[in-house]
Amino acid sequence: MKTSKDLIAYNDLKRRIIDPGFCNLCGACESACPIHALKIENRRLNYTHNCADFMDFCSICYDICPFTEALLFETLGFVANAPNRAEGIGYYRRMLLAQAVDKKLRDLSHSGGVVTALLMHAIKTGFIDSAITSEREKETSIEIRPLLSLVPDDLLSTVDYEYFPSSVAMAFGKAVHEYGKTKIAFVGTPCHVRAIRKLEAWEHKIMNSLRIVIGLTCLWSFSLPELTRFLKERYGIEAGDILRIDMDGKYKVSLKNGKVAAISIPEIKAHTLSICRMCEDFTSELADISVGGAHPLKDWSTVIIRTEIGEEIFEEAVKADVIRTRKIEEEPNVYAHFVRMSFLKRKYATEEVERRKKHGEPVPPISIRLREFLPREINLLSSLKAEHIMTKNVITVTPETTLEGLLAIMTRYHHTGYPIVDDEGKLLGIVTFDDISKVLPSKRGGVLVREVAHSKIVTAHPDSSLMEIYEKMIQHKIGKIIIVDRKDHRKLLGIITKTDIMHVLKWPMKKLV
Amino acid sequence: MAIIAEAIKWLLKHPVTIKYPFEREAPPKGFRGRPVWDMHRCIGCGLCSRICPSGAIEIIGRGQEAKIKHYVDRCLFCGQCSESCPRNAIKLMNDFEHARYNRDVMIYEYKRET
Amino acid sequence: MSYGSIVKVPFGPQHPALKEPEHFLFEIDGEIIVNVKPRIGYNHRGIEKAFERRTYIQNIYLAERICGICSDAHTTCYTQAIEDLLGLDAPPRARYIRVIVAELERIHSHSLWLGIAVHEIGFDTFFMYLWRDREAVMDILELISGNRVHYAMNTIGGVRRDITPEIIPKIIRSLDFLEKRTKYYMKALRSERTVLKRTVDVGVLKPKDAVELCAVGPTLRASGVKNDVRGDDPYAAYDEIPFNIVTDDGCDVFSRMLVRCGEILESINMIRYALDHMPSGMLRVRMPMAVKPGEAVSRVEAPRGELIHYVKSNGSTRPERYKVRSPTLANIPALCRMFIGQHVADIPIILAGIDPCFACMDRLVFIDVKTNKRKSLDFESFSEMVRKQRNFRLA
Repeated sequence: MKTSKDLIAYNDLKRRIIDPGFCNLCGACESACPIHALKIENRRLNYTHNCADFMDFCSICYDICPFTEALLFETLGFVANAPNRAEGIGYYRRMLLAQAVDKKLRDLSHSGGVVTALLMHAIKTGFIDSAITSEREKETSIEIRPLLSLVPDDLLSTVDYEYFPSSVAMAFGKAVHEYGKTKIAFVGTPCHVRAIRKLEAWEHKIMNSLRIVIGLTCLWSFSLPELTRFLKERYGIEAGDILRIDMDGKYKVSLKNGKVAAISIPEIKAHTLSICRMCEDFTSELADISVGGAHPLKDWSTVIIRTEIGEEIFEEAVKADVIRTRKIEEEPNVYAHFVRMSFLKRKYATEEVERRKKHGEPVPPISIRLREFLPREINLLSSLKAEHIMTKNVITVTPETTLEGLLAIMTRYHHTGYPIVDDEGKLLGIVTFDDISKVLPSKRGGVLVREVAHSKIVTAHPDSSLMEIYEKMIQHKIGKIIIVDRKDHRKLLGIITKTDIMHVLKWPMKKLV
Repeated sequence: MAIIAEAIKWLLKHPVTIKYPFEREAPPKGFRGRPVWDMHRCIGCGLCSRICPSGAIEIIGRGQEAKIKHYVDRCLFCGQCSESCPRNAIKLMNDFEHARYNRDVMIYEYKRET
Repeated sequence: MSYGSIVKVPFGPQHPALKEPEHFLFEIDGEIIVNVKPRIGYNHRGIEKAFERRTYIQNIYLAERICGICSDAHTTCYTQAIEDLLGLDAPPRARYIRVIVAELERIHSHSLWLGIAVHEIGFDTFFMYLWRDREAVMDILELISGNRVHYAMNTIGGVRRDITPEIIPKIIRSLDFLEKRTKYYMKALRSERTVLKRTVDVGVLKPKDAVELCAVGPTLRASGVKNDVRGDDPYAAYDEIPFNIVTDDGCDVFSRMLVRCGEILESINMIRYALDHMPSGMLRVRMPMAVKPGEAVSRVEAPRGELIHYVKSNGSTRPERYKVRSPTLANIPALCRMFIGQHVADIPIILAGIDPCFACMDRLVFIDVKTNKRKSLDFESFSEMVRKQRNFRLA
């Protein structure tokens, strides 16, 4: 028989998240714990007293940790009513480029200043009464800490890039418990957004105060001591000299004396937090609005609007002339870079999880969960056939399309793979985003699709079950499968992506009382 | 004798006393009355029972099957249970007339309905 | 003139002055009191022991129930002691809200006492008017906190509720009404012959005696001694709010009335200032449930005088020792001095003059009658002792 101590979820949290070093100090557990047993102090998560003294049974801290398997598919319910979805971007309503009209904001912030402009406008109009962002620990340091802004001007000190862990989810709890705020905007990286959404799916009472979640794109957070040591040993850079870090294909560390050191991604990857190396979410797929850089454009940001409330606040800001927008279709290169980063993160994550599994190293429960399903879900997937969920109106390309033309199509429709079909409708192969990124941007105009495409394609039939298809995807390490006629293997019927399967699995969004 | 003028002045006015059972004043917003459990939101963690200063809350079973017994005769109406509940399952009502002749009828039970 | 023989008159535990039981043995010569022996302990509730068996969160509500009238003073004192142990401070806005609630409570306590005092001298019309107007402040307190008596506003690390901008105009309106009424009552007290006859030069406590016998609160200030924890050792936001310490040189029951009236007016001004100057920001800091080992003493000026709480923690979630020194206990020696030389008929008004609260102050000491030695007992041996019921008396 289990004693009451076994039922306290903190033991699980400690064994599976804290001890293997997966905690990124987001502080969601601190704001969620009803008896303040967890506390982040000196960049460590401390367990202040035995919670079994106060409760019979509780699973909050484990359930809402962004790296556990619990509530994972429930959280999709917050964004899943968006009309579109795409690999690497997630559910979305619109994707566009934006920048703050005020040039001062653009200069102060890192890229387009969109987040700062949006939040300042929302506070001014009373849509929100406070915003949680991050600011630098000290003027000279690269460490960041959470910041609660109550008046628009506070936001000027924020940094809207996050390369280091910041306990913003803890700050959210503080805003509710200690400041008594009721209309809060939350800004965070994908894992913070996931923590907040999990809290919301759990129906924690502090979530009644949440108004809007703004997600930032994030490749990885660095482990601060490791990175500073690495920079010092390898490049002779003192942590205090760093002005800022930019990311555009390479990490560019700008120093106070004007020098810039460029460090390639594989080299710096070893100094990120171990959990980040296994994270697959680049674009904050659960946020109301996701904002990221727009390399190679300066002063612009890529914005993905996912929910109605996100649309509302964004439109209001555009109407008030705080933000100006551009269509993303005008800049295929921006889109290509954005999606490339997203796929890169996913690829590294998959590799890292495989490597860890092979070496018998611990893997966070969330990574296991995304690959292994519960019996209930396996039943569901086995009972559903491909024809039920496949996309029937497939956008196809001809073999004679140039890569530039293909990129334009991709930028427009946001899918990442397109079947190649000849004039008679016969399926010839598939071309994916990876194939484009192998060709240098300058040469893309002269290369035709048929030169880079795969002719060997993985297909399935309309009556194969989703479980079968999913296993095929895992086996071939691909994200989409083409559905062809059982008799005529060259007749294209539809396409199924991994996101489609995840979409089936999401549970209906619970009613929030 | 100094307040005789005052006494005469008030003699001509309406009495300030509210004739209670016949006239009632609604309690103000935020009044701390009897706590009521919404068992569809309750996760059965038992925190309300452990934190209650006067031991007025008893929890039988745990998790979804938990049954809450609230002894109004012991309740202090401090609202700590509602404040501690992580999921807003406890709301404070506006009613304040809890006195009965029998203590047995002053126990409120809450159970999740299937 | 002496009658030559001293008569002993037992007064209490059931007595005409208050509802609370306490015993005083008066030695009278004719109508004049020559000596008095107090005997406390009739209303011992074991609250200090109860503190040791509850968690720090539960103790907030226990501290509140030490006294029904100064409930906010006790919780302020308790939370301050715990915050001291934790090494944390309540946020500025919380400290202002604490001041506002504490001063509202002072208004309510003093008008309640004024009512009782005039009732003791048989002036019930005045008593009715005072208590009717006291409802105004009770309503404000209910509006702010959700309860008329046990406000439960303080928590460890701040306050539980905010004073929202919507209710501030209502508070101001009630304060204006109270100020008008209190000024009128002060005028009426000064000119009312019934009051003057029964209170002037009754229960005189000389300033030297007051200091010597450690009187506290309005009892001390009515003897002309300027002493107030709010000014001497400011807690909460009292160091930021300007106020006067009200004193009077009359040294009698009448000046105790005037001091309390003056304090009501002073409190009204303090609340007005605090409402105007309240900073925005946090209401509370989240505190851990377990408190690190240590000791702390906290002082608060309750409506009845200086209140002292002492806490000793052993690092667990429950205090190891808790001690409450309520203001009435400090005033008892001074009270006994006041009786000397007074008429028997004045006993109730002199007794009520210190605004006593016997239930708050009653403590228990075990004395072995045979050896006349004090004893400390833990809970188990105490229950065993009660079972045996031998050779012990309460003192």
